Amino acid sequence: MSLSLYQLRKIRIAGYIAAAGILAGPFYVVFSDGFTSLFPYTNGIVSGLLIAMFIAWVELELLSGKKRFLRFYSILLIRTALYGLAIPIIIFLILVISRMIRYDLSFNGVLSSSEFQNYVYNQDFNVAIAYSIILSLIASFIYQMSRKMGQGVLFSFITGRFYHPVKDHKVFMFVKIENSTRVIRGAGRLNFHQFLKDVTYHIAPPILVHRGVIHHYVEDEIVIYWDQKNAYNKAHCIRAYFSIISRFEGLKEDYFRKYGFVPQFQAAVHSGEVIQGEIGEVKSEIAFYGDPVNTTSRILGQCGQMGKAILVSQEIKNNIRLPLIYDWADCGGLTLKGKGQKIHLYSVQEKVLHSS
Amino acid sequence: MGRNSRSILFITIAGLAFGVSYPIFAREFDQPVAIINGISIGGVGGFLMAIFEVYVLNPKNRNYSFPVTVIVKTVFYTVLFFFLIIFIKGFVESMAVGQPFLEYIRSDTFQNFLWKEDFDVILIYSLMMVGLIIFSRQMSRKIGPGVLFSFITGRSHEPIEETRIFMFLDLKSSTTIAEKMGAVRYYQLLNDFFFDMTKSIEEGRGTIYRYVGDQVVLTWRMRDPGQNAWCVKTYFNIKRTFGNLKEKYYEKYGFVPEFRAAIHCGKVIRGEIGDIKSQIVFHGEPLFMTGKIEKLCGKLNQELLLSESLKSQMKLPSLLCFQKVPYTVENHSDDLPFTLHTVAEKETV
Repeated sequence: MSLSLYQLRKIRIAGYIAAAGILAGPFYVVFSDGFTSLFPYTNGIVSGLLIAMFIAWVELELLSGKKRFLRFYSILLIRTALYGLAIPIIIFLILVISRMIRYDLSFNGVLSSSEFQNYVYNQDFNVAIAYSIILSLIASFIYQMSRKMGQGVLFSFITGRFYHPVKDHKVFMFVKIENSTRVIRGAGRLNFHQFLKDVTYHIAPPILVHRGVIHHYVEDEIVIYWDQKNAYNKAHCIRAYFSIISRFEGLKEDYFRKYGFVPQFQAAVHSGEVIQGEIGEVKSEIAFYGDPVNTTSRILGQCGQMGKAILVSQEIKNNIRLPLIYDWADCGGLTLKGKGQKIHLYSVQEKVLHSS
Repeated sequence: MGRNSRSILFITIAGLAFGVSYPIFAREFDQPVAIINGISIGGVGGFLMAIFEVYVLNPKNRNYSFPVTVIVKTVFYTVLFFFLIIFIKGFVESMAVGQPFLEYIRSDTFQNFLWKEDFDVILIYSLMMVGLIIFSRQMSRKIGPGVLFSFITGRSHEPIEETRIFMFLDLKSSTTIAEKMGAVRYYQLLNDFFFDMTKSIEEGRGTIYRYVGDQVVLTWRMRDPGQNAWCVKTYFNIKRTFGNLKEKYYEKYGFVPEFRAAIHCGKVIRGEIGDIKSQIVFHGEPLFMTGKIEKLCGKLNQELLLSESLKSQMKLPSLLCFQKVPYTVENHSDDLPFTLHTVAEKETV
C-alpha cells in the first residue's frame, strides 16, 4: 500500500503532536506527588501521549473539512469543550489506572480508597479541570489566530524575527486564476467572492503537502513561497502546481455546477535574493522586496502571451531534477523592462507516455 | 471618546474581569473579602497598567527591540504587582479584621500568606493576565484594528455588501528611488513612510486595508457628509506630517518624499477568504476605479483626485474647497464615467 502525500502529511503532523505530548507530559510531575518516585513520570508521559493522540484525532479527522462552515467562535467553543472536558477525563483515568497497577487494586478499589478520595475532593483536582479548560481556550485561540494570520506569521511577530529586514534566497510561485472575471460577469460580485473563497480553500492542501507557504492573496492571484531547500528538494515547487491542477480536476463538476466555470491556473516560478521584513505599524505585514518578486510577476504576465500554463525561470530549472513524467520545454528569452536584463524561460509539460 | 481613553477603559475592565475570576480558581467564592481583594487588585492593577501601557511604554515608541521590551515589562509589572498585592490585600483584610494596616502586615496570618501560601500563585496569575492583555492588544494592532473582532465574531464569514470610501495613497516616483537605493534601504524608506503616516490615519478614523508595494490602501465606511470629509482631512494631515519630517527624510534618504492620493467610493463586497492564511478582502468596481484615478494623478499632475460621486456626499471643512480638474484623454481605456475634482486650501488673505 502506498500512501498519498496528504496521508503522509497527516502522519507527519500526528507525529509532531505526539512528540510534543511526550515531551510536555513529564512537566506534569511538577503538579503531582513528588519528584522521587518513578510513577509520576510514567503517568506524565502516558497522559501526554494520550492527550496528544486525542488532539491529533480531533484536529486531523474530526474537525478537518468541517471547519470552513463554522465561525471562529463556534470552532473556539467546540475546541474548548472537547479539550477542556476530555483532558481531565484522560488524566483522571490515568491516575486511577496507575494506582491500580501500583497498589494492585481493582478500579473500584482505587475509587473508594481514602488516598484517592482525598486527592479528588480535598486537593486540587477541580483546579486542574479549570486550568485545563482555560488553557485549552487560550491555546485554541492562539492556534486559530496563527492559522488565520498565515504560516509562521504570528511566531515572527512575537519574536520580532523580521522586525529588521532579513536578506534571503526564496523561491516564488505566483498562481493566477485564468479568466476569473468571467465569474463576475456571469454570476455577480457576491458569487465571485464565494468563488474565491472556495478556490483559496481548495488550493491550500496541495500547497501545504509540497511545503509551500501561502504568502497572501491579491485579487485572483495567490502568492506562494518556499525556502530554497524545500523548493528544490523533490521538485516541490513544480509538483505543487501539478498537484493543484489535479486537485481541481477532481472538483471540476462542483465548480461547474456552482459557478458555470471551471478554474484554470497559470503559474510563474522564479527565485532570487529578496528582503523579507515587517512593514506597517498598524496592520503589519511581513512583506518581500526585491527584483525577483517583480520579475515573477512579469513572468506570470507572459503565461497568457505565450499560451503556457506554467513558466519557470532558468534559475529554477538549473536547480531541479524533474520527476520522470515531466519534461522541460524551451520558451525562449524575456527582456525585463527598465533593466535591459534577459532571462530564459521554460515550461513544464507531462510527457506523452505510450502504453505499448 | 479618544483612542487613549478607550484603551484605558478596555484594559481596566479586562483587569477587573480577571481579578474577579481569581477567587473562582482559588475556591474562595464564598468569601466576600477574597472577592473584594480580586476586584480591587484587578481594577487598580488594570488601571495602573493601562496608564503605563498607553503613556509610557506605548508600542508607538518603537525604539526598543522585542526582547528588551519583554524584560522591561516583566520586571516592571512584577515589582508593581508585588507591592500592589501586598498593599491592597493587607489594606482590605486589616479593615475586615479591624487592625491597623502595619500591625496586620506584621501579623502571623499575613506573614504566613506571604511566605507559605498563595502569594506567589497570585503574583504569577497577575503576570500571566498582564501578558495576555498585552499580547491581545499587540496582536489586534498588528492584524489591524477591527480585524481581530471581526474574525472572532465571524462578521465577515458570510460576505456582505457595504458602501465604502477608498483612498489609494502612494509614494511618488518610487521606482526610480528604489533603483537608486537598493532593496534594504528601500524597505527602510517604505517602513518609515508607512510608520509616519499611521498616526494621522488612526486619528482620521481610517482603516488600513493593505499595503501594496509603495502604496497604502485606506478605507472608511460611508457616513454623513461631514464625517465623509475625514478622508480628505487625513490626506492633509499626512501631508502636514511629512512637511514637518522633510529634514529627517532628506538626511536619511537624500530626498523628500512626495505622495499622491486618489479617493473614490461605492458599493463593495466585504468578506473573508483563505483557509490557512485568511484575509478580509473587498471586491468591487470602486477599487478598480480608484486605481484608475490614481494613475490619472500622474498624468494630470495632481496630488489629490477624487470622484464626482464622492464629492456629492461630502461636506468639506470651511478652509478647504473643491476644484474641478478638467481632463482630456487620448487613450479611450483611461476614460472615466465621471468628472474629477481636487481639493485645495482656500486663500484666506
